Amino acid sequence: MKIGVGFRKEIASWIEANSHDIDCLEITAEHFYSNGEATLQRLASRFPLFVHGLGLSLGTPGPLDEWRLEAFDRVVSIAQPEWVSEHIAFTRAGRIDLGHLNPIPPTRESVRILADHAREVSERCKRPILLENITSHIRLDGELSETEFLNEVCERAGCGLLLDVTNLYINSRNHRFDPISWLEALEPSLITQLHIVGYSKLGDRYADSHSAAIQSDLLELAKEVVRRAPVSAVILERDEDFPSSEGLQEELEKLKRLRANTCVA
Amino acid sequence: MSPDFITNLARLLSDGRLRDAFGSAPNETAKSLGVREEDIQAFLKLDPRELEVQALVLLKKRFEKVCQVVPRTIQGMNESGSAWRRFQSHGRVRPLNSEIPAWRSAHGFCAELKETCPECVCPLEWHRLEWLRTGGRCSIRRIKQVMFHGKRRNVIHLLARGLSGASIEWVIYLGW
Repeated sequence: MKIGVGFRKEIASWIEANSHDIDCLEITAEHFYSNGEATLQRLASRFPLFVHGLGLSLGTPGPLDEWRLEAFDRVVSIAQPEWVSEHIAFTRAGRIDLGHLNPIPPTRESVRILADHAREVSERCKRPILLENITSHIRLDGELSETEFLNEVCERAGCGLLLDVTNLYINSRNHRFDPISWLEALEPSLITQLHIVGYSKLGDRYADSHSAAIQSDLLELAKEVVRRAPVSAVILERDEDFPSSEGLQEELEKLKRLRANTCVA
Repeated sequence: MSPDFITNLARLLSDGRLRDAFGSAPNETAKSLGVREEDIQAFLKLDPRELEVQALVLLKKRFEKVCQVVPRTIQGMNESGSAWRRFQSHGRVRPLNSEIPAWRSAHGFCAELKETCPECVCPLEWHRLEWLRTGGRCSIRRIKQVMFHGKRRNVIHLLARGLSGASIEWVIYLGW
């Protein structure tokens, strides 16, 4: 199981200095749409990369945005990742761009839309695609439960899952369900990669600010995942309020200790 | 053709007034949006409180972009803890659309502040926003009372657009 971090320019120096300790990097495709080709080429020559998208809006009915798809493919062709990933979500609909990820209803129509879009991205980039679960403060009604929905989407699309353990934890707390039961309803062989970062609290609600150290209860949930599923990579997805070098190193150590619990497939 | 569920959800999340209407009269709102028959049940099950929390997350993302455009204005207001609170009130009744550049959102916010709290708006940043809005080639202005190292100074503020379209900015602080 590879251990890596999401590449952010704020920690670029730390990544360079600790490259021996980092198995892989995940880059955000949109960060390289306008510039940064030289940086991307250098990273690709030093690390195995994964390419993670934010804005393809796979859950939106209708055709994918061709400009964004072409830009995504261009980044992939430079990064040469083992796989790419995007979200089980929408960011745009009609003439409205919400600028962030939002949930899609767990219906068979959504399965079809999402799976067809995932296949299209995978075929365009000539790489497998993983789909990631998101945090949502809205519960949407549909024909399927969330886990049934994920299982069906992946089966139809022929893809795997990027399980964001933090998002699962946050949703389980905000919507009061048992994350272990949720895990047990998911097809374990689908879970290929994990995202993890500490959660935040705003009053009595949990939030994914991507700015906190990994808490012990979150780590326990991650252990449950790696015991059940043949996870190939875990990425620390910190976006802001970066700790010191020692703090970042400690976060990596937590993930290495997690590796000891890996499921033998 | 009736809009799909995702489009109607996007409308609700982007518009505080529409969410208020949904909260008080969900059936009428569904009808006014042209919600499809197959989507009605799921639409009416949407929880207005959950919609509000999700919309707040989106608005916060927008606010973070505005903070990057007008950092002095926001910082000045943060000293009294009011920047995010004011932006929430402002943003809630203006449909959110990230296709609108962040500087336009910042301009709208600052224009409202100039009515309600004119001393909150950094005059340098307002000059820049107005220049962006008018699309002029260059603009020079003498601006009074700009904060500089804890003291207020008069400045000459020069904005210009190069041949490539990139903008250039100079601030010359007058006196000591």
